Amino acid sequence: MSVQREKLWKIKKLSGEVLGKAGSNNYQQKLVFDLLNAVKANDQNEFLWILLRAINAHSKDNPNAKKLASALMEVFPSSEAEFEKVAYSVILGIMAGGGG
Amino acid sequence: MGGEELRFTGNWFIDAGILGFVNLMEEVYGWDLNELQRRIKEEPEKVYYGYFPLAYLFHHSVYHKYIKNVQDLKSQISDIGKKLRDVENSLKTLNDELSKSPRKMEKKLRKQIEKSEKKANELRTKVEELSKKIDQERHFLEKEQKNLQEVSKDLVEELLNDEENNFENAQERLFQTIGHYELQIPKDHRNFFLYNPKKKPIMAFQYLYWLLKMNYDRLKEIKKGKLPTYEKIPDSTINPFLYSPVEFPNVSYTKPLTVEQITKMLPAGMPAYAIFLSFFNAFQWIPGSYVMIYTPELQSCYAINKRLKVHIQSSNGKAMLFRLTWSAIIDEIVETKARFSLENLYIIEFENIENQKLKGVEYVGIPKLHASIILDNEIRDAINTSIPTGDSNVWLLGEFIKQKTLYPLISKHVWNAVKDNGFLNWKASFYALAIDAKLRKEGTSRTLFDKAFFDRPKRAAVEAKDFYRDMVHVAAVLKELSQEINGKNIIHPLFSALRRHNRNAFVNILLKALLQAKSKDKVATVNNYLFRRVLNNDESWEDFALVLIIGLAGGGGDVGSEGKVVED
Repeated sequence: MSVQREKLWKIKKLSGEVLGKAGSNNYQQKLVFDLLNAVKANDQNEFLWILLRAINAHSKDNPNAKKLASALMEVFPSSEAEFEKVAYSVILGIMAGGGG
Repeated sequence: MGGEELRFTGNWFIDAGILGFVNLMEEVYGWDLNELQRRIKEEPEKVYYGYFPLAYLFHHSVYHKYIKNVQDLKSQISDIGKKLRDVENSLKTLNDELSKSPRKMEKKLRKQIEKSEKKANELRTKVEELSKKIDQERHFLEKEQKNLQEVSKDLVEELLNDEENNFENAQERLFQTIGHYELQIPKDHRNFFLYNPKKKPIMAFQYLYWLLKMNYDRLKEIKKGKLPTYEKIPDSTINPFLYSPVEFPNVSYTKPLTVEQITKMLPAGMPAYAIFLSFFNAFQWIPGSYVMIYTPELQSCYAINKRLKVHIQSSNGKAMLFRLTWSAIIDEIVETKARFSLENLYIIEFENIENQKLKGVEYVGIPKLHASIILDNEIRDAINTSIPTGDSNVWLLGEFIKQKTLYPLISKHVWNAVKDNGFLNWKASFYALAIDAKLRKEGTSRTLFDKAFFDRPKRAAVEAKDFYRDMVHVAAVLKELSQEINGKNIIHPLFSALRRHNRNAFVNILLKALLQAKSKDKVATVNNYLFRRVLNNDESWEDFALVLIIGLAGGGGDVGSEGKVVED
């Protein structure tokens, strides 16, 4: 349980660092909105697809992108409950804007 | 001979007798438990065989008569009070009519008013007279009590020294003190030799003395050759809760205990009959039933029941049984911090002792964890309130004591406030949710007997308060954001998600709404809370989520400036 919690903290932090400041405000809002819709539909593929595309577009010279990708690799694919937690950690991380 | 301290045995029936014994001695001689313990230690013989029988006879004659007379007088006063109110009402109507009536009616009305006023004055005088009578009764009781207290010291000594002569030499003094007592049979006895037919007080004393001493030869003499029966094996003659030799002929299968056997269970030196005769004194009358709060430790049990008595007197017969008993118990824990002795707590309640109408023996023990939370003044004060939950008002502290989950109640309360735009009690709701969250966390803890286990009662209130502060803070932030994100519009979908226990939907709806907000730092606070308290908390996320709805719903004037940030 505690390992899982730590992992979620890590994912949240990394998501914020990679995507928290990426693009314009509008871009970010759109990204989060799309991600929220994917979680709502419980569509792991769609979620990953949107997320990875965003990372790919904004990961130039960002060493944290690799870390985030490998952290995501550890948790995907996952059960429904786990997926929600991971997904919202990513979203909350992005919304926190790299501030933690 | 030094006596052993009074203590409980763990058997509620016997313990009720011990408590009754303490109450009886306190009522008659004014000794509290400590004083009684001291005396029992120093002079047990005198207490058990001298002071006690005298107190018993006093209680069931002088005191009994006082209570009966005062009750009669009070009911007369209440009847007259009703009549007086009628007369006063009619006077008011007549005066109103007088102010509006034409002149020719005036004379007639004045006459009627005069008549009514006279009647009202008569009734008032009657009430005064009756009140004076109550005072007289009280003075008489006090005088008698004082008299007994003054003479008892020498009298008891004299009596015990004259035991061999069956009190022949002490009879004159005994007669002076108790000769005029008129014994009234208490509710818990039937056909007890002492009362049926009425015995002279002197003989009653002798009988009581030998009964306590278990001297059956002497008892046989007093009963004019009749063999002692219930004196040897106490039965329903003495207390309807004991076995009945007439109604249950198969009694040989469940052999009842003899006085000697019972004595062995008692604190050393205590005569069994002191307990049987005092049983009834352990109970307090709350309209509708006799009640005793029982915890298997004499000191706490005595203190709680003493408080109960005070609460009953101050409530004037209006408060409910549950509230009265719990007020007494809570006062006791708050004062003595005796959280450990309260785990075994029972409320013994019967409607009518004559036919054993036992209403119930309800186990109401408070676990350490609950007790430690109640002990915190701030939390207790916050939840010691009634909140509207739609169909009724609920006393939160009462529900907590009953160990019910508070979440559903707060959920109803919030829904009620949202639906009808009613009052939303932030402070009580947040504390209730904080406690609930804390208890759920404890409930799902998988490790047993670790450090946290032993620390938890101490830490429980502290953690609940941490939760509370966190909740207040986030709710205040969300209240400010509410306008920006059209908060009122998402309250219903959020509620619906919460009712379906759907965390995904809840977080999704809220985050979508938060995307519209411009105050990024405030959103960050809410997001932080969501991550820590809702997403990473499988046990009690609903408690924390409901807080967000409360924030959106607004209100919150009652929490003051306690909204400090608590990060963990």
